[in-house]
Amino acid sequence: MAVIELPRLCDRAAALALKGDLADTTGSEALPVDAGNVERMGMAMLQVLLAAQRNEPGIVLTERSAEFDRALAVSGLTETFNTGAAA
Amino acid sequence: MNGIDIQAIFFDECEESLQAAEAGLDACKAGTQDGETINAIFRAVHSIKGGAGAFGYEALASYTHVFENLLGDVREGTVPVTSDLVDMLLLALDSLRDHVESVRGGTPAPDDAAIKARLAEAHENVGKDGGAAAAEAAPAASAPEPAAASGSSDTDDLDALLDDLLGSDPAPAAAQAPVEEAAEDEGEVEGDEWALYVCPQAGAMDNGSEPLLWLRELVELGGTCVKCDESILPQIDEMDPKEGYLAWTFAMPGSVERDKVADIFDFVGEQCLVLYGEEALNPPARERKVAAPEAKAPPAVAPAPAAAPASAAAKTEAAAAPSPTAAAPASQSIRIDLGKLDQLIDGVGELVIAQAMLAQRLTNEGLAHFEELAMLEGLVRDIQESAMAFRAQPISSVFSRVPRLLRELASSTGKHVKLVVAGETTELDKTVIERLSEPLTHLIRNAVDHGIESAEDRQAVGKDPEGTLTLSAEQKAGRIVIRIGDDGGGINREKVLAKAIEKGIVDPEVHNLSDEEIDNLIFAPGFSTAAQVSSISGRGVGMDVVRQNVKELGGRITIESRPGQGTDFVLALPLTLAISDGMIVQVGDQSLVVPLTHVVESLSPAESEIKGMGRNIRMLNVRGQFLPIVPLRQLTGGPCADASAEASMENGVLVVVETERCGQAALLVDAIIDQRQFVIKSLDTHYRSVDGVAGATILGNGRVALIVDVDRLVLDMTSRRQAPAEAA
Repeated sequence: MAVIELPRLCDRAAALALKGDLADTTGSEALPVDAGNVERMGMAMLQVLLAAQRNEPGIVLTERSAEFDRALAVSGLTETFNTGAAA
Repeated sequence: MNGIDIQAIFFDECEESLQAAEAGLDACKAGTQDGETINAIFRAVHSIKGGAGAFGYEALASYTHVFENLLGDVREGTVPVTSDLVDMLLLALDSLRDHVESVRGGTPAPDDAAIKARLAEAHENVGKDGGAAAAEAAPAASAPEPAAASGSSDTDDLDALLDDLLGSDPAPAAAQAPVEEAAEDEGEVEGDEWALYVCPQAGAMDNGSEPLLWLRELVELGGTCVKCDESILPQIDEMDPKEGYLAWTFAMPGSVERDKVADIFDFVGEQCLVLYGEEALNPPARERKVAAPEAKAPPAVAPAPAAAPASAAAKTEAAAAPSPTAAAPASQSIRIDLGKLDQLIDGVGELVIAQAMLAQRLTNEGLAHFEELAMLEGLVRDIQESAMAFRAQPISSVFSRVPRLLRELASSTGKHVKLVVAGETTELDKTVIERLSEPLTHLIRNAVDHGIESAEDRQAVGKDPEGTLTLSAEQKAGRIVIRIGDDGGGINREKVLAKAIEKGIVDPEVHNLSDEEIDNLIFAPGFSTAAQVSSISGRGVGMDVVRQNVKELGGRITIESRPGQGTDFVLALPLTLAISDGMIVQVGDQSLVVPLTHVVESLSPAESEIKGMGRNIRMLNVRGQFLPIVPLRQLTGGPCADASAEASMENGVLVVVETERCGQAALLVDAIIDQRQFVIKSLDTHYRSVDGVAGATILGNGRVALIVDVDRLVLDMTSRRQAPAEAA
């Protein structure tokens, strides 16, 4: 399955662009998302990922950069996302 | 929103809580001692305690803690609600009010040792005796268990919110513990930590702003995110990433000052809701910005027809059908800084003037009568009325302070007075309400001290030993009429007259004063019938000050006294101080404004209807009633010679007005120009006080017009004319 790679700058523009991809996803397996390159994470992207996580079949984070983890930590969402390897 | 704003909100809420507690205790005293009433009292005190703790007001927090302990016993039914207990709780509430006032005013905390000891003793006795017997003795007073009592209405309970926040069961014991203790018990929030709520709105991410950076700064200050509220996050295909769907609650260390946190949000403006302390634990309900997925089609609520599976239809239905999991409706009220409201009122005042000027300009161009102008006038009036309504407050905010005053008076005079209140929902301008407190207090003190007899005297004449004070308010003819009545002995007119003669207020040779005139002598400066100056009244300045205060409010005060039955003081006040309706009249080359509240009628009398009385007085015969004619030309500095008055009377118009002390009179003017709203500008502020002039306004032609002080003008002119006439 194709992996969606998050850009280095996950700002509002990136969130708007990615929302369509995540919303259109179909299938029975969680969509792999690579957050390994994220250097700046914004609230808009966080909201999109949260909504995508809820949307069946959800997403799974294959990679997480330190910056991405830090963003999750400050926003109290460290344990929210599924993490694992791409199927 | 900065710390000062939040403090202001805290004090507003304190006032509301105090009023709620007082209303609850009054209800208890009247016999309503159900669980909800007790809970309401508890919640009110509890709410103040929470805020006091959050703001670091130690004395207030400590006092409310002791107060709340006893209320907790009452709530749990371990202390029965007796009359003595309610009296003690009322005293405790008075002390709580003093505490709040001292915090607000930055003054030393009041001496609460005695009442605090009584509260603590009552609380401790429960522990020693065991509460079961007391609870059985007063089952009606027992409140439901906290969990049952809370329900939806209890969502503002700080402990419940803390428990909810920390994911624990609300235990009754926790409800009694201070915030810090409850938090410590959970081991997640340190004792001195405080809560912070951050809710970015749509627009918070505009212009490169990034809410997660604010959160990062909070963490760098030592804060910990304890909750991320995702409850309104919609499905991905229904969301707009530019919107703000998330909100966070942080636990901030006690060592971090609020200002430090506020600095982070300094430039955020209104794009992010930031709440501190107790408010952070009780944020307003948030509305879903789109239909939530779970609300889409629950068959039992809104069965989705097979023929209409389109998502648009589903969205419509989902939006219409209330979801059980949907957020509660947002609050229907908002708090607005009073300064902003005043700015709005000022702006509306200028709008009224600008509209009048436009109308005048168009009239000059021969374009007076067209639909758009009438529409504009209607709209301006609507806006003005709406703006004024924003400042309107129920008079209950003043009336609610009276029970305490009566309690204090009861302890100092020994006179127990029952209070009867009517019309407390009547609304009037906030400024009027604020300035009404002082004269009302004087009148009530006077009624209890002088009006209502002692219990022995009352019994001797067959009255209930407990006196009754009646407060009522109603809207009448564009004014608010407030009546303060007592069922005492009424004004002793012989005594009043004798005192007035003794003090040189009345000439001893004058013996034909009417009852009304004698009653009004109590308003004379320096008048007092009290044998001794007391702390309650009898200083001889109170009633004079009352009259002055009422007059400054643009109102008037009258007395209705019935010997042996009591006295009513009737205050007629304007609804608002800023904009009023008036009749614009022409006198010589001047335009004057006569407030419409005084105007009874206008007429052009026949010569036979005007009679002379002596050299100076002309009377108008209005359907058999003779009214003194007052030429307004004198106010404008014009000649007041009889010849001039006679000349203008032939071509002039008489405006019949109602006055406070002289009954009706007829103002002689050259012509009536218009009737319209006018914006009152104080002469005191811009120039100086002028007798007979209530203020000034700007007319549509841009010229300044004086507003006639009808009461003063008629009183001055009639008494001035009577003097030489009597001398003659």
